[in-house]
Amino acid sequence: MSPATKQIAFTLNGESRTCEIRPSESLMDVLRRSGYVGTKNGCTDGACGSCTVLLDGKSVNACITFAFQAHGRTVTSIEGVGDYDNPHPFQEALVENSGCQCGFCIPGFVMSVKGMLDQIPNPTHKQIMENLDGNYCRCTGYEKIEDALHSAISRTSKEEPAWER
Amino acid sequence: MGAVKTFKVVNHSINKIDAMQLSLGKPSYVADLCPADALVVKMLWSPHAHARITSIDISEAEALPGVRCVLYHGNVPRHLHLTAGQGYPEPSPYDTAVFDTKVRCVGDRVAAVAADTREIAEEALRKIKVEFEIL
Amino acid sequence: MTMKFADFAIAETLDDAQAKLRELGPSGFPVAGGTSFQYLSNRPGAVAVDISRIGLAGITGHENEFRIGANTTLTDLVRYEADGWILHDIATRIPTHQIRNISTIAGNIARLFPWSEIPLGLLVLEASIVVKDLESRQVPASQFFATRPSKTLRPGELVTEIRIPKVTGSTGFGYKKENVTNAAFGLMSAAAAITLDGDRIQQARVAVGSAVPAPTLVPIAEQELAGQPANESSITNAIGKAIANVRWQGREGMTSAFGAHLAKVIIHDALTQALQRAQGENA
Repeated sequence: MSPATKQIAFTLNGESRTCEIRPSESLMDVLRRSGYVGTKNGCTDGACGSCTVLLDGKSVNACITFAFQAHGRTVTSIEGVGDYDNPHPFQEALVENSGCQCGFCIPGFVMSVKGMLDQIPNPTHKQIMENLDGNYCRCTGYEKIEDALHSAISRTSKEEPAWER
Repeated sequence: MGAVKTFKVVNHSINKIDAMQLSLGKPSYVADLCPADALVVKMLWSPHAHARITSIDISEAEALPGVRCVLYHGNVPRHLHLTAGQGYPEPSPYDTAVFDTKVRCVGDRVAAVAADTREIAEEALRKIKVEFEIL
Repeated sequence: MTMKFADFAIAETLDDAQAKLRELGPSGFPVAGGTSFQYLSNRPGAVAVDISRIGLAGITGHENEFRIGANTTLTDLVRYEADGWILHDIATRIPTHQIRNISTIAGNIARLFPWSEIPLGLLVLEASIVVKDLESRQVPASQFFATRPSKTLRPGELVTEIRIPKVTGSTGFGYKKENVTNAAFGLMSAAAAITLDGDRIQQARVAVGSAVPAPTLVPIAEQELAGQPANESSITNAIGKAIANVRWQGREGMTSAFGAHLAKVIIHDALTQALQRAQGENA
């Protein structure tokens, strides 16, 4: 017997939404069952980062965030970042730099990168390591993802990239 | 010295055909493309390293509302196949059945349940009665 | 997630949160960042009270101390910069950034796990924890962590603020954490604070974590080092006795015997770092 549901209200990718949720549902489960399948379930453990979304602009693991924690807040999922006509510079750089292999980790990386660059447009290497430490990739060995990140920063930052590559 | 050939495809860098689709998080994986009303399948695993299944009773599990199908060695054809793979004709013995009368490791397959929700499938697993003779 | 909730409530203010929690009694659980609940086993009928919207976030510097609001995130601790501030040393080693962005300092001390790191810094610097029931009171860290806060805090009692002394002058702080991979919980961690009086150690405090059931002060280290010359030999001489009285436990494939060995190394490194910093070095 499922626990009763309750309504929450939040902003998702710029739009006001209401949603019936079970008290223990994770934000990831609510997003995925609502059709927002870009947020991936890699571990359900808060370890791999493939479920990363922005909650009030800060990157968090949707799999261990209760859906009720989003009530009254702003959620940005990968569906709210870029499109074919107008991709985010990091998304474009990933394509150009062969940063995607199986691609499963990529939405999580995009969200963490967006969360970081929105707050720190020109991060140092130390800041990058601090803000991307929770995103894992099994395929690429990270090299090409870093290439893409450096390319994106060069494009979006108004100054010389602080991070030398 | 020597003609330089210009190739249209060879020697050109091209983008991975689905790279932008993946970067945008568009539905791409089995879990993304699964219909919302898909059934949930749960497996019953063996707790024993080596045992014979002396009896299985799935009647209570089958009777649970929301359970659509319960499979075990008694109601599936014994189709012997191979899990190793070097391509046909792979010379190893074709001796694996999906559900067997014997379990050969902790975690070996005993039964499978398909149900409307994960909770119902998990409850159905608990209702399957299995007796083992430990070998 | 391991622990499931039967219901949830969103608290608007501190008073609201406390009223709701008092009413719920043992079935009420304050949820700030919510990242601990995957490590708790199921308690039927548990109700979440979301306390993340009641304010109480932010760090302010005062003459001799920093005051840190309960809902300050670990990321805030990492990014805060000020003379005498040391919590970034510990917070930056708590993986990962997604957890740090939402996990709060109060959540990191109100319920202890073997891998709790923040308490180590609070113990060696004799920080105080402001707890509010109907009234507020300041509890010294050594008293707060002497028992399990999750058992001693009454329903509706909440940590509202942490006050940590500034580390200045002739005091240095050291912290070392050994883990198998960067994102893993610690195998062994230690925090140390050394205050010098000229070329002598006036006071040394050591706290250890990870390979012990809960963050633990090591009083023998304090006794062995007080009054000793401020050099590495004093540290080396004190280590053997210091670790002998602690019950080390194995974890993550590590035996308790190896835990004791690792303790020697990590405590030594933390004390050395504290000493070097007390002597003005950029250790």
